[in-house]
Amino acid sequence: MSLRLLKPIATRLGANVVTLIVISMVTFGLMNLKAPEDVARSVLGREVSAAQIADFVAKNGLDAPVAVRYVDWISRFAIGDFGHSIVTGRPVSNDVLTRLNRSLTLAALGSLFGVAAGIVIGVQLALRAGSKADFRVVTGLLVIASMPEFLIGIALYLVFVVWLGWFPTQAGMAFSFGDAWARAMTFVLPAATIGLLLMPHIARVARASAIEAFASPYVDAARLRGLSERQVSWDHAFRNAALPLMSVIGVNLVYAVSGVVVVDFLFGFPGLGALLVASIGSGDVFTTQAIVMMFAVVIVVINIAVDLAMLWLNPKARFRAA
Amino acid sequence: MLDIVDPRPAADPTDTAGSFDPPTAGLAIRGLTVRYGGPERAPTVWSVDLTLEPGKILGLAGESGCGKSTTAKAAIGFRQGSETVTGRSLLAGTDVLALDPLARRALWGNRVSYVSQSASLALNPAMTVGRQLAQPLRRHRGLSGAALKRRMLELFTLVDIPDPAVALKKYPFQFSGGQQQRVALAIALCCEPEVLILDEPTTGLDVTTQARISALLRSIVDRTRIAVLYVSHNLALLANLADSLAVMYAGQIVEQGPTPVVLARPRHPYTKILLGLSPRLEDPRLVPGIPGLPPAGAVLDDCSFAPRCPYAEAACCGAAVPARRFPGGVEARCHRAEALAGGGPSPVALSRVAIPDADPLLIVDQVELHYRGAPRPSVDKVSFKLKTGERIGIVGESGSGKSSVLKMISGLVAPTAGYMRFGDTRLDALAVDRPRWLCRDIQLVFQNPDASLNPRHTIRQILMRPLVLFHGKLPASERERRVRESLERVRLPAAFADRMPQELSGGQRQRVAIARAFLASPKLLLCDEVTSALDVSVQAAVLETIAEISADAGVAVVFVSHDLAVVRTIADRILVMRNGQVVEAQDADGLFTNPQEPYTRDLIAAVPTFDLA
Ligand code: SF4
Repeated sequence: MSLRLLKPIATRLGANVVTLIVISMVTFGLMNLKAPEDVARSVLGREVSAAQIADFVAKNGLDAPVAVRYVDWISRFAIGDFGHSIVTGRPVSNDVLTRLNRSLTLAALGSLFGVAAGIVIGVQLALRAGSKADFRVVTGLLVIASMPEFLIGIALYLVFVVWLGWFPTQAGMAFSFGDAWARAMTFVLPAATIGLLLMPHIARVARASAIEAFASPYVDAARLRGLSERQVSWDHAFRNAALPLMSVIGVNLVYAVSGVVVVDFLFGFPGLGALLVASIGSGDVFTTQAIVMMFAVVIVVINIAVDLAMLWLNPKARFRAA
Repeated sequence: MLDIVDPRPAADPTDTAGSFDPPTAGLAIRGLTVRYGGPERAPTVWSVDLTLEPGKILGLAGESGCGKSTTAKAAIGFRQGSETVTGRSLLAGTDVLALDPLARRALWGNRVSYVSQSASLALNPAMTVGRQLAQPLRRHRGLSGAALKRRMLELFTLVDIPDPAVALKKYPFQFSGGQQQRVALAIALCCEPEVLILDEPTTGLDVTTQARISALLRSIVDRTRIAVLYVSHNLALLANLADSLAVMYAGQIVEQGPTPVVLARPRHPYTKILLGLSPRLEDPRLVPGIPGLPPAGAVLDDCSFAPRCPYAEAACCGAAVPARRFPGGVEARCHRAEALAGGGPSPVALSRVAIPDADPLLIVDQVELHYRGAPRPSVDKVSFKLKTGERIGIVGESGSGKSSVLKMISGLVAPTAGYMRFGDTRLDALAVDRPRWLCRDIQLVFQNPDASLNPRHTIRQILMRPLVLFHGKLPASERERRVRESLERVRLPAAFADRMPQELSGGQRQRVAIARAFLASPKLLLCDEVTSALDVSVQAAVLETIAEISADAGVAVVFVSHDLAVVRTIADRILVMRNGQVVEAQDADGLFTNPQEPYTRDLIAAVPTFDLA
């Protein structure tokens, strides 16, 4: 089986590498539209001499043709050398990787919460499908799902930070000066926001696919073989319900990753999103490029993982792919 | 409920059907009644008595919606929703219906097994068949390790699955339909149950597959002495397989008894008509279809068949008709059974016209369809000619290429080689590129009318389409007249013009599709499995309609079906297809009396007949 899966894995990897290259070109192109002099000016300020500009351009290698710079950048990027920030002069990888680590932890915590809560709620609803409680909760989920993300974040912020005062007002401060506990606490609200963003979608699809799976003839057939309801649910119903759910989880994980930009902003969380906003603001080309590429890589990895999970869940697709 | 049945003559050795004393083995169903909704609603199944004996197959026949599937599931205590089930179902003296849910589950798959219609749906698509077979064995028998493996191999061998060890590791979709049903059968038989319920187990499978599974079942029943309830709408199949036969109509058993007795001397008019409506290989004639539709539930204050019964009289209404016993161990619910002792309505041949000795209307010459990448052509050098008014049948198993031939003639796919001519025109273009008159002259009707009837249009709008499209400048009143006339021809009330397709039954929709095809005034009608999804009574009406209109207007017909007996009723000439090739072509009578090819003979032999000799 594992050998048989090599081919689909290889095709997916190949396709995704192409995607990454295209993204890198577009990103690089957009970031380097400006003339090198303008880049220098936006970093150094208006009141600089021509010599200073020339010096800056030469130091950062901005005078080479775009294609050469692109190849130079992407080949270094591929081996983990993200270059030096043209603003601070520090290696970009330092900042980006710490932040990436933090933001991924945040996204993972949030998704874990959102997916787990969504599945539990969805399955519970499916078991009560058609009841009043089901109707109310489904309506509630719809309301949450239709709220813009910042509204959820602001609501949580108002209740838990401003009103109850359980969490620090500035997560960034806790990170710089707090102990481990204080740092851990800073994750709670942003993760909860991300989780709340995902949960309604997951819950609704989980509910629908569980209802469908429980109504399927093979679930009836499994009951009629005298299997326990547990076995019927886990081996027969849920396993097949997981398939449509998996693709929705994939979309939502991507959503969670992009959600870190919003929660960084809302909660002052010192993550990759905050750095992205800052680096765009300061004209820090290499940092911005590195962050965009990091997002792209993470999303591509998620897509591949979801694809493979779906292949694993669906033997028919597995045989077709091989 | 039991007092409905008249006391029977004291001693009759053959008298076992519906016996009062529950047997010590098998399953005795007594007074089984199923209601959806409150007591004000007519029961779906009413007071059913059936006795499943060890080593015997009891066939439960009836048309769709008569309650036979509901009966089968209710009898083993399987609930589908909010229905209330009353009555008893005794498994060796224990009432299955009185057991608590856990005790019932311990019986299922263990002492009582159930196989449903479509194995492709009943097997979990994401689990190997081996695991699905192992589950009940572990649970009910506590088997594991080598013993489990041995038993699984034994079971797959029992149901004739080739290479059992490899097969166990496969997923359901890696098997053919027939093999999937064998797998389902192996799972059902794994714990050596006393009772096996089969709900249309071979419906949708090819006749040859069907015949092989029937033979397998018979041998298993003989060997294991299992008691079987076999539910099917296919009376001919039951006639061949079942030891006794029960016929269900509107939730009641209207007749039951030993199969040979029921077939030789049906007592209930419905049984007679059902027998006459079932197409037979040895006789192309059918009894005329009966008007109307069965009621939604059991009718308790009249004979439920009265509105459609050709023999109904005043005495038939006003009270439920009790089941009465007749010699030979038969029970039937009809007042007039004695008076009607003779045969049922006599069969008549479908309308035919003499085929003029003219040039052929359609020439198909060495036509081939080879999809790219396919190992062999779907259609391989097929040739035939069709004259005006002639009706040709194409039979074959699934994958034989019979439908592809129609698709090419109608221009849905283009042949990869060969030549087709319609009148003086070459048929090489796809339908979209054909001139409008050609699209009018060649009409195609599909198996599933739902796919071709727009659900948002009324029947009138649907029927107006061909008139607007092909007979442009008709005045509105003339169009309306033709729509009404066409409904009349397919025996649908004119009031149906204002209905939506989904308000009609499947058979009625199929007749709308046929009416629409004929409204185009075609010269050639292509029918692709048009009656395959229909009950025999509706099938007869649809066949009559096609035959009548084609005879009246001299329309040539190509009738494709996997059902030889159906093709026999309507076709003048028959092509037998296999693996894309025509293996035999003969006139209809000749093909069945004197088949030339071994494959044709196998195909004919696989069709269940009522001939009990
Ligand atoms: S009781 Fe009357 S209506 Fe009913 S089947 Fe017999 S003859 Fe027909």
